[in-house]
Amino acid sequence: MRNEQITSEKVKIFSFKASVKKIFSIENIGIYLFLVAIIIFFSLMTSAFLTLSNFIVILRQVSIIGICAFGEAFVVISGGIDLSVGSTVALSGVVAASLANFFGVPVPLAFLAGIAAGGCTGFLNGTLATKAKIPPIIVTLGTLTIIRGLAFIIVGGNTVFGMPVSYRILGRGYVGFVPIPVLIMVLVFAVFFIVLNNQSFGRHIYAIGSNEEAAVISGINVNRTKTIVFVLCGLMAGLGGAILSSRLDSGQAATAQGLELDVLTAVVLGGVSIAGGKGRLESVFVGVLIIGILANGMVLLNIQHFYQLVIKGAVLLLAVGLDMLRKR
Amino acid sequence: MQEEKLIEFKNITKTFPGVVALNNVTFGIRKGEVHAIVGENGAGKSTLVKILSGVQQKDEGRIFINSKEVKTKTPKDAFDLGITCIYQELPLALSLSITDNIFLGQEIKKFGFLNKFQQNKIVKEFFKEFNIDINPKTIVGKLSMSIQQITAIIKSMMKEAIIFIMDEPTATLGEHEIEILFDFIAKIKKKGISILYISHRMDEIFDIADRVTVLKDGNYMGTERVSDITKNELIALISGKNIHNASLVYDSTRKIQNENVLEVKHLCYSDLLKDIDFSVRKGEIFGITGLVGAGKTELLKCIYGLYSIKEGKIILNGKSVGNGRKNKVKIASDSFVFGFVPEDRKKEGLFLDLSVIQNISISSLGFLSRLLFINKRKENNLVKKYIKDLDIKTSGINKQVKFLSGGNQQKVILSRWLSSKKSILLMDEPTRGIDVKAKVEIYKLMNKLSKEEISVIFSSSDVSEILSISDRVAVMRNGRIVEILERKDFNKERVLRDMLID
Repeated sequence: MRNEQITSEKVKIFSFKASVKKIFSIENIGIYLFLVAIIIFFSLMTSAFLTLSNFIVILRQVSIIGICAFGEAFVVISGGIDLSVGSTVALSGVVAASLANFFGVPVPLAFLAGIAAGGCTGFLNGTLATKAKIPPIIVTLGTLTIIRGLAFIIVGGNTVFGMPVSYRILGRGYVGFVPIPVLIMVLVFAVFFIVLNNQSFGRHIYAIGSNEEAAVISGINVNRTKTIVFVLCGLMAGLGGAILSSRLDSGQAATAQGLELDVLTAVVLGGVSIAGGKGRLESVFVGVLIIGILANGMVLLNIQHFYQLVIKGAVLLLAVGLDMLRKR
Repeated sequence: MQEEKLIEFKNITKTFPGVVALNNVTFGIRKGEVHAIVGENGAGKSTLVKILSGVQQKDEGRIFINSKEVKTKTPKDAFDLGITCIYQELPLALSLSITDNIFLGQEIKKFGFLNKFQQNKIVKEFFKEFNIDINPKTIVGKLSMSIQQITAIIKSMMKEAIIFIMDEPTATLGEHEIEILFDFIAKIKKKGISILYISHRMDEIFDIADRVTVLKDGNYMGTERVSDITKNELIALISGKNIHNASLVYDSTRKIQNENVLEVKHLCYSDLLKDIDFSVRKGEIFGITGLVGAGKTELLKCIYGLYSIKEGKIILNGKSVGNGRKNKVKIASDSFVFGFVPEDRKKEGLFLDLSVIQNISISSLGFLSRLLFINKRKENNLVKKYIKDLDIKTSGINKQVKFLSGGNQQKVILSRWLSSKKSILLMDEPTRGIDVKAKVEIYKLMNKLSKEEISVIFSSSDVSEILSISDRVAVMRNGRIVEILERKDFNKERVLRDMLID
């Protein structure tokens, strides 16, 4: 009995220390600091950087990557990976543009069809991964080219022009001074954040990524959950594709090549473990912002494109590497 | 034996946030002895081992080897000093051969090519020295657990070792395999190598250890020669009080209704289960025993729906349930029928990276949620209740479960199923690798569940355990149930005979 009291006092003392420690050991604090650092750096280097209008530009530029990244984060936390995101963006765009242009489908419906096409590719990925038991990296490596091919087949290699004027609203419009794509990105973030943190579905995603066998035994329908996660990722890529197509005011099968790499970079920057089971969506958001700010800042500083590529890759390795060191 | 101290611990202290893991621990290990360390879960055994093997750093105190102070800052430091840890998860490449494993990183080469002939010869001789005749080219994954352990030990013997640390080495072994391992230990002891042996199994310690050191809540309670102490005295030291004999744990005041909740009829699965027939009543504690490989785990997994059965029926509350994984897991999760405590906690039970609360509530989220949203206050309260009820030792509900000791991890899994209101609990070797006190706690819990009309079906290869707690016992051999005994007919010899003799 006495012993217990002593321990509980100790726990109290330690819990104060723990709370101080907690602030400094926020998961992925490294990338938050990194975000602040690059903001300060670019602000000092160029006066064009730290303005409201430039930040809105940055947010608009990253909105498609962001929307896709939140879906991708779900897949990666569940222990999978989706490489077909870029192709799905293109497919969604050509589907929406073709429907609106050649078949006179009302614009909102055309966009929904594009998004639905994304959902279908996600369902295909999920089914192949869970039913045929092909590892997700192989599945999506295959569908990456299949989907891109489909996009080209739909438009016969041409670019689709001449949609109704309203087609441009989704990608180019504003609500007040906020671009619509930015608004959509924030909305998607909010919804995905709540699902991940406050719903059993989100908890199941973490559990599957952490230990799939234990998840099965815990009574989680693992295959269904994984399939839904892929569908969500596909839907978000579809949404991204609709926005991109609207912004370009065209349907092009060749767009968004390699987009999945930017998306994955954001997810990994955000501290999501590629082995699954770990990661926070707010950190992924920060990862998205870092990618956007770097791209924007380097353009403002007139850094040549080739150098930009090198810097972008180095930043990923640096940020993740530092985080690994800190955890050791 | 001469007082020739190989390793001395002096005033070792180690604290973690909220817990004093080791408090001023001082004792010595002699050359060529098997030195057992016992204690409840969380007594500090693992921490001591981790400090000696360089995985963790002590806060205070000193370690001497042959009277010279040593500092083990990393596992490599310890390894270079000849301190070798044989972990429960063996560091073997399962897809390589015995020879490849043993020479991994220290291959014998000739003109830049592997000298396989020479390597195989050395390995073969090494095994022969311990009276084990084996083809060194055998793939390690195909070996029995005991031979795998011996392979790991021989591998580390290629470097100069002075002490082997073995943490629950028999946890995954059958009776026969344990014998092989113990023979082997006796032989390496003769070579003047010491063994630090951690186990919860009293019988083993009395079989194999020369001396035993008791830890309790991080404090050193004493070191005794095994020949100078009885089991009861040792258990008293471990628990700090006299613990009841396990046979007193059976609660005969329980009333079991004559209503079958589960019937298994002519169940066959692959070649592993043949014509299994039994039924379990409401609130009954039904034990299944048998040797390793007799089919206990497979039977439980078939009932739970993880394996699809070839023939036969499983009847729940009078209704036949579908065959195979899909249907059964659905039943398990949706209708609150089955809970399953797997044999291998880490592989099949725990989400090691997730927190205690997430591990406990994962199967209860259905009724903890409203309109798809988890009611976090309700979740917190539920989890806290079980942490208190089962006395789970953790510094907080948000601690990652991988930081808990084995017994506490087991309690986390039990809490998962207790909190999720199941009516039948399947437990596969629920007391494996946990200490005496925690075992008794689990027996009591089984009684309590039974009183709440929850049926418990559990497997154990420990015959004394199964006879002390069960209402009925099914004895399995080679995939068949050989006999089902009522409590009044319980007889250890008969059960052993059923288990062993064709």
